[in-house]
Parts: sequence; C-alpha cells; structure tokens
Amino acid sequence: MIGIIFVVFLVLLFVGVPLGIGMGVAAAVALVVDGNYPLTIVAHKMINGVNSFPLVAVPLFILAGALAGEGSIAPRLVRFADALFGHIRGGLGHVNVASSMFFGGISGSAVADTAAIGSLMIPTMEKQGYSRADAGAITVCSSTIGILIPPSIPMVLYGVAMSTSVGALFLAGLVPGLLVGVFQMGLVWALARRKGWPQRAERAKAPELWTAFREAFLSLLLPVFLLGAIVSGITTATEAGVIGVLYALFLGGVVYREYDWRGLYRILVDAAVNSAVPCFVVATTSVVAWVVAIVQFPDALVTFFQAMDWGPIVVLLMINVFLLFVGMFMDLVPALLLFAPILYPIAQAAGIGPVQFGAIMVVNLGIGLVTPPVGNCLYLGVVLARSTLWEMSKAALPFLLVNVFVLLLVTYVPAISTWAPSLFFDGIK
Amino acid sequence: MHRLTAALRFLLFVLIVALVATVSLGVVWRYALGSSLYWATEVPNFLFVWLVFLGAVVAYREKKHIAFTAILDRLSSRGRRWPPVAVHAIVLAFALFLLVTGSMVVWQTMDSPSEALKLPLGYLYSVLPFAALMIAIDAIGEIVRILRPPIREPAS
Repeated sequence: MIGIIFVVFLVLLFVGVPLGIGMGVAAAVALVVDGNYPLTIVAHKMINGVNSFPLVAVPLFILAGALAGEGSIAPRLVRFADALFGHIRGGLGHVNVASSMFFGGISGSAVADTAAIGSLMIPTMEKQGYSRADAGAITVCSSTIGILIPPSIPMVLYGVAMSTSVGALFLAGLVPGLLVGVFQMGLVWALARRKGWPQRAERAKAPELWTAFREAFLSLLLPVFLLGAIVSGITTATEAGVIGVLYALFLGGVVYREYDWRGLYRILVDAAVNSAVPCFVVATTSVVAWVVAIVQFPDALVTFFQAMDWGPIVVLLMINVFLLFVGMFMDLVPALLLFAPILYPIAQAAGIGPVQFGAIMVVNLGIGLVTPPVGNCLYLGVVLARSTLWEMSKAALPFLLVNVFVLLLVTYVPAISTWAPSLFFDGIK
Repeated sequence: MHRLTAALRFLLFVLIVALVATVSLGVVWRYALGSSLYWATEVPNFLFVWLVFLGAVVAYREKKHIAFTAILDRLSSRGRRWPPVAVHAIVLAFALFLLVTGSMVVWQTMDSPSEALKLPLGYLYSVLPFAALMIAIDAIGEIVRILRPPIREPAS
C-alpha cells in the first residue's frame, strides 16, 4: 500500500493537483486497491485528523501574525532593528535578519515573515545598493527564523502528530532560531565588504534609539507575553494564541487605531482561508499517516536500520539528508506530518527524544522552504524582489549553508534544543 | 458564482470570530472565575473543523491551495489546456468520493452524541459532504470554463 500511495501522490503532484487533494486521492486509491477497509475510513480520518484542540492554535497564530503584519507593528519592529543594527557593516542586511527574529516572536509562519518583512525591506535595500537577488535572498533565508522562534506553526503540527507538548517544542526552537539569526548576521557582515553593501552613516544616537524602542515596545511585549503564558504553565499554546490575537487587535485597533471595519473583515476571512490551506493538508495527510501506521511501515524501517547497524551518527546524517531532499520537492506541512511518525522510531533508536527530533525536523524542512524547485518562501521572495529563481537561489546558497550548520548543531548537540524547554518542563528529551 | 464565494467568506468570518470568542471564554472562565467550562474544548474544535473544510472550499475557488506548477508553466499554450482539465477532473472525482462516503458517515453518526454538548456527531461530519459538494460544483464550472470555445470578439 505504501508503494501505491507514493506513486499516486508523486504523479498527482507533478500534474499539478493541489497537495491536500493529492494526499487524499493517494490514500483513497490505496484503500480501494487493498480492499480490506471500509472507504468511509477516509472521511472519518479526515475529520478526526483536524478535530484537535492543539491544532486550533494554527488559525489563532496565523490571525495574530496577519493582524501584526497588516498594521504598523511590522514597520515599528523594522525601525527598532534599524536603530539597533543599522550602523554595523552590512546595515540593512542585519536589520532584515533582526526584524525576522522580532517578527518571528509574533508570527509562526515563515511565509508570513517573508511577506511582512520582504515588502518593507526589499525596496529600501535595493535603493541602498543591494542587488534584487541579494535583498530577496536575505529576506527569504532569514524568514526561516520565523518558524523557529516561538510561536511556530510547524511545531504545533509536529506536536499534534507526535502527541508532544507544543509548549516544550516552542521553547526547543528558541535557541536554534537565535543561532540562525546570529550566524546569518555574521555572514552579512562577512559578505558586506565584497558585495559593497553600505551601512547607515552613523550609529543611532540615544534619543533615536529610545524613540524607536518606545514605539516598538508594545509590539515587543507580545512575544514576551506569549512565551511567559506558555512556560509558566498558565495557558496551553492554543490559549496563548488567542491571547496573541486579542493583544494584536488591542494594539492595532485601540492603541494605534489603524484598522477599519472593512480591512478587519478581510484580515479575518483571509486568515481563516490561509489556515484552512495547511490544515486541509493535515486532514488528508492524517489518512495517509493512518495507512502508514497500520501496515507497520515504521517498524519495518527500524528493523532494517537495526540490521544495518550504522551507528547513530550515520543514521542521523542519513535522516537529515533524506529530509533535505524531501524538502526540495515537498511542502513543509505534509513532509512534517508524514515523515515525523515514520522517521521518529529510527531516530529514537539512535538516542534522540521527541522534542529534539521536532527541532531537527523543523530546522531541516525550514531549509526546504527556500530551496528550489519547490519552496514557498523562495517563490514569494522572487515575486517580491522581482528577481529570478536561479539568481535568487544562487544568492541564497551561503545563507542556507548557515542553516545547514545550525541543523548539524541541533542534530548532534541535544542541549541546543532541549536546554530551554528543560528549564520549564520535566523529562524533556 | 461570485455571490457564493462572498457567502462562504461571510460564513468563515462568523466561524473565526466564534472561534476566537469561545477560546477566549474558556481562558477567562478558567482563570478569572476559577472553574472550567465543560464545552471549552469541544466547541472550538467543532468550529475549527468547519472552518478548515469551508476554508478549503474558498481556497479552491480562489486558487490558494498549494500546488506544484513548475512543470505545467513550461508547457506551450496549446498543451496548457489539458493538464488543468485533468487536475480539475481529479479534484472532481475526489470531491464526489467524499460526498458519497462523507454522507454515509454523517448518516452513521447521527445517533452518536458528542462528549460535552451531546450533539449528534453527524452535525460535525456534515461539513465534509457539504464542502465536497461545493468543491465538485466549482470543479465542474472550471472544466466547462476551460473547454468552452472562446467567444470571438467582433472585429471592429
């Protein structure tokens, strides 16, 4: 059955059938061919795959991110980042990366980060002498930080698929996200001389820094609130999501007064549609995941790997290379949902816990968002920067190597992902 | 057709507002009033399931679903006509499959009550055949639109 599913899915994918539908068709075809199960199981699994309270966090974080992105929260964060880092060699490149780190604390989606930061930063970067490809590449590569710094929609999905604490997973992404940011800023600094990227004439003076901080303060408070609520055990991730929505609404609607009713209606409905797209993929992928589980495919894989006896270092390397390859061709959401339950038993046999494995998968598949031929952030970045896929992929390469380096750290140094959650949760591995 | 999209979008608006409201109520009840609402997870879950499938319908109508089109985009304009027809035909087939099996599930679960509110679970499942029907209608519309010979502009 696994063979049928993969062949049908790949054929449908290349014909251009939407991913969510392709997954469902593949599972349905496999069940028809097999003939041992009632076909109503597809409908059952699709509904129950999304009938989950932790998953409700997805529309809430998407809505909070949209409310923050549409209003002045994103520009405020960019101005603050500019006052902090604009004078360092490579100026706006640092501002772009730092803005992604700040915005990643509000939004849990890399695509939302690309859209919000990219539309603000790319035109300015171009004016200051960055090539379109470079400006776009820095934007899309730094947006991968958005799904590492909590909140993170992929972490929610992994937590639901693997019955792991979403709060612990959020914290597991924090240090890797900061590392990607710091290393990417280091790379901007190193590339700036050769590429001739300018910086602002002088360091922001104390009054400017203070003004920028004051204007961004209430927006910066949001991630602090969210994390605080989750780690102190006051709320679940879903409840933190609703706090994020209400806070963003309060900021944009009452404090800054920048939404009108018509705009708010559009933001709300679009957030619903934009949540439905990945969650519909969750629904159909859970049918496939069920099939994969009943044929005991993961067990067979574990037995095979044990027989091969390659040792944990090689096994983890193989998992990562495989996932990087998958990420080139497959969107993050189905790849995460499908391969987490398949690959985790192998990783577990190699001594990896569920929280660390979540961090590995999200860092790894985040790279897939930027690699051609299929990369949602890359495509959006090409459009925003009016560059070409080829030029931007070339410019993105050094930044992606930074992500790969962090991926290796996360894979082989458990403390990088497990240290932060272990401060607040018991028994984190 | 446009009016149907607008109606569905309004329904999504109601669902997402209700979702935010019910999750908020759950938080308020638990921390301000110290007791938990017995439906505090079930109602948001039901609203969310409805939101996902109705949102998927709107996403299909607005062409927002993620698809891999790099190969299709390379085809010549003559060859470009048939793959989309095949895609919509596959979507139509899957929608009809869900319409039939989903209706069967609704029928089977009308007697099983939900945990908290004791509503028939069929209400929860009914969004699936409904969404499938909506997608099927739109897929037929798309196929007809592509295959219908283009109306010639009168030469002026």
